[in-house]
Amino acid sequence: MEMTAPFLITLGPLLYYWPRHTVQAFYREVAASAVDVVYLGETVCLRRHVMRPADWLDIAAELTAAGKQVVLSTPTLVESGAAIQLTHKLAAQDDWLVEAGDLGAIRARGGRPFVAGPHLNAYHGDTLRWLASLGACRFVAPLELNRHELAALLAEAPPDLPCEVMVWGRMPLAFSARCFTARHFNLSKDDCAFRCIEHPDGLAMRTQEDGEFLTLNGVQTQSGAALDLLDQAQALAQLGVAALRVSPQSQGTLPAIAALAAARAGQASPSVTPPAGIGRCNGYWWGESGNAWREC
Amino acid sequence: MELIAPAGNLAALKAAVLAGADAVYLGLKNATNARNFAGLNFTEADIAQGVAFARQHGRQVLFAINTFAQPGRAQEWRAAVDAACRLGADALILADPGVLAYARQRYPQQRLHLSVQGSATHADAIELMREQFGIQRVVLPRVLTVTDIARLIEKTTVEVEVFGFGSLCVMAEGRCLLSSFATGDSPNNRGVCSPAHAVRWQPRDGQMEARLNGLLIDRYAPDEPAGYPTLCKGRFMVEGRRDHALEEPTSLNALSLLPRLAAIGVRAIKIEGRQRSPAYVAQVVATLRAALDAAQAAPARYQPQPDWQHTLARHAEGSQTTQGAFDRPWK
Amino acid sequence: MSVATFGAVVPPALLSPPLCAVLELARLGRWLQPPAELEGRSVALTLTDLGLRHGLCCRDGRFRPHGVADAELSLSASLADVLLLLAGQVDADTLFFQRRLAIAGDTELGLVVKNWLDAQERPAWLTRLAARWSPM
Repeated sequence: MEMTAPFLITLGPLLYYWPRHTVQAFYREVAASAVDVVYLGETVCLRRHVMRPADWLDIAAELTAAGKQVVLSTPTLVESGAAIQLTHKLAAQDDWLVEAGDLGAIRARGGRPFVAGPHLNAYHGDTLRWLASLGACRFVAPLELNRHELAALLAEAPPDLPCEVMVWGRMPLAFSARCFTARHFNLSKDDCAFRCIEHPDGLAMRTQEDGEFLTLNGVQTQSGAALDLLDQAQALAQLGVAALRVSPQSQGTLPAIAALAAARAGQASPSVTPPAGIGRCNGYWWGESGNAWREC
Repeated sequence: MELIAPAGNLAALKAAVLAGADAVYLGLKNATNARNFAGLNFTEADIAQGVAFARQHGRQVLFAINTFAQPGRAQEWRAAVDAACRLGADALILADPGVLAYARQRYPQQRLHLSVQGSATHADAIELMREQFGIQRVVLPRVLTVTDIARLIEKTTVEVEVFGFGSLCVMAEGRCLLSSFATGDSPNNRGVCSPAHAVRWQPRDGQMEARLNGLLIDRYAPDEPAGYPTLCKGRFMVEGRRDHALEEPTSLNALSLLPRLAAIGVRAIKIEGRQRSPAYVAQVVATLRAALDAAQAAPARYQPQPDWQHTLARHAEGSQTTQGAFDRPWK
Repeated sequence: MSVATFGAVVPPALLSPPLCAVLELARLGRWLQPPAELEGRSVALTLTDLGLRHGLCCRDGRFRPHGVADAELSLSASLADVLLLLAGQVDADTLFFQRRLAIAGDTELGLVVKNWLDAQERPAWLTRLAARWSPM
C-alpha cells in the first residue's frame, strides 16, 4: 500500500460578493467540514459591504469554536485610503493570524507572524528567506508554477516556512484599478449598483467562438475554468506541500474539501463537479498553459 | 522631472539620447527583463557601447532586471545584476525581493529602483522596500490617480517615477497571470505578455483574426485599427454581448498632466516601448522633451501643442490615447 | 495592363531576384546584416499597391530568392511603407496598428525580422534621403 503524506486543508478567502445570509450559511457548513484553516475577509473590493466587520468576527469566532484556524486576509490591490486603513486594522490585531495580500501589509505587521499570500510573487528561495525574516509562517505558492518548478521552489524553501498551494476553484489571475463588472453594465466604479451580487461565481467572459476563457469579478479577473488538482493531492503532499487551498465557489466547495479529506485518509476521492457551466483546468501543474485540462 | 526612455537596441539608445532623454532603460537578451522578445535587447558588447555613448552625452543608463527569478534559477538573475554593475549601470530596476536582497548585499553602493512589476501601490509597500533594500526610486503601477500619487509622495522619501506615454496595462503590473493562463508564458515567469510564438494572424471571410495559442482574441474588419493581440485588449462575449470586456487597445498619454505631476513631486516620467523602433523612440522622446521643457519654463501657461499630440497619437496603439488611471473617467 | 494586375500575371520567381538584389546591396553596403536568427528562414513580401509578391530566404548569411507559397512568414505593405521600413524611418508597430502592415504565418519570425530592421544603424545619406519620402 502506498504511504500517504499529511497535509492541511485550507479554504481561501471568499472572492465573490454574496448576500449576507448566504455567506453566513456557507461558513456554518464550513465549520462542520473537514477543513483545518479558513481565510476570511474581503480581499477584492472594499465597496462590497453586506458583511460588516462584526459579521466577519462572528464567523471567525464560530469557526474557532469548531476547531478551525482562522486567518484574516488583507486586500490584494491597495490603492485607496480605505484599503490602507483596513490593512492596518487587520495587521494590528493579534486575535487571529493575518494573510498579507500585499507588501504594505507585511510592513504593517511589523515582524509579527503572517501568511504570505498568493500574489506576493514568492518564486524562489531568496524571496522566501526574506519573507521568513519578516515573520512569514507559511507562504502560498504562485499559481503559475508547474510541478517541477514547485519541487525546485520547495527544495529552496527554508525548513520552517511551510508551503500552501491552491488546488480547487476559479483562479484569481489579475487585478485592476478598473471594475470590469461595472464596465460591462455601463456603470461607473463608484456607482456600480453592486451588480457583483447577482453573479455568485463571477461573470463569464467567453471568446467570440463561445470558448470558455476568463471570469470578471469586479476589479479581479479569474480563470474561466475552475482549477482542479484534487487528484494530485497526494502528489503535492509527497513533494512537501504542507497545505492545500480550496477557493470558495457557489457549488462544489464542500465536496472539494471532502475529496481532500478522503485523499488525506488514503481513500479514493470522487471527482468534484464545478458549478454548472464551468469547466476544469490543470494546465499550470502539467507545464502547459493554465487553461489546459489534462485528464489523468 | 527627468525623462526616461526605452531602448530595445543600440540604435534606439542613441536615438533616445540624441532626442533629449535624461536616462535610457534597457535589458539583457534573456528572461531577466520584462521585454524578452525574439531579436530584441542588448548583448554585453552593445551595452558597453551604449553606456559609453550615454556618458559622452552626460546621460544615464538604467538596467531593467524586472522579472521574477524562477525556482532553482536565481543564479541567472544574480548574473544579470553582476553584469549590470560591471557594465556601469547608473541604477538597476528590480522587482523581485530576492534579487533586490542580492543586489543590496553584494553591491551596497549601487542605486536601486523598484520596478513597476514590483507592485508597490502605496506608501507602506514602498517604505518596506526602502527600509529593506534602500530603494531610491519606485516606478508606480498604472492603477493610481494623481490624487493617490500626491498622497503617496507625502508619505515616502523614495523618488516617484510614473509612466507618461505608451501602451497601457489595465492590470496592476507584476500581478497579472492572464498571459500564462492562455499561453504558459507571463511577464513574471518569462518576461513576455501574449508572446509572439503563440500569436497567429489569419485572414478569414474578409476579416483578420488574431489568435493566441488558438484562442480567438479578436477579429478586425479591413480598415479597423488593430492592436497587439494582448489578450486583455481583445473583444470577448459577456452575457451574449461582444465587447472589449477588459480594455480597448489604447495608449497612455499624460502630456496634459505634466505640470500637475511636477507640482505634486513626481521625479521622473517614463516612456513605455522597449519593443518599439528607434523611429518611435526618437519621435516620442523629442515630443516629451519639448513638453517637459515647456512645462518647466512656464507651468501656469503650459498647454500641450497640437503637433505634440499629433505625433503621439500617430504612435499610439489603437490610435487612441487616454489618461488611464490618472484621471479615471470610468470612476 | 494596370500596375496592380502586373504581379498577378508575372510569375513570382521572376520578381524575387530584384528584391533580393536590393537586400544584397544593402547587406554589402553593411547597413542590413542578417542576424543568425534569420539563417535558413523564409519570408514572402507582398507589395500591396503594386500587386507584387516576392519570396526570399536567408542562407549562408546572404539573401536568396525563395518560393512564395511555402514561406514561413508573410508580410504585406505598400512599396512606400516597405522603403520607409528598410530605411528605418517608420515604426513597424505603428504601421501595424494603422493596418498598413499585415503579417501572417510565423509571428515570432516576424518579430525577429522587425527587431533586426530596427536594430540596424543606417548610413546618414540613407536617413537623409528617406526623410524626403516620409509622408510624416
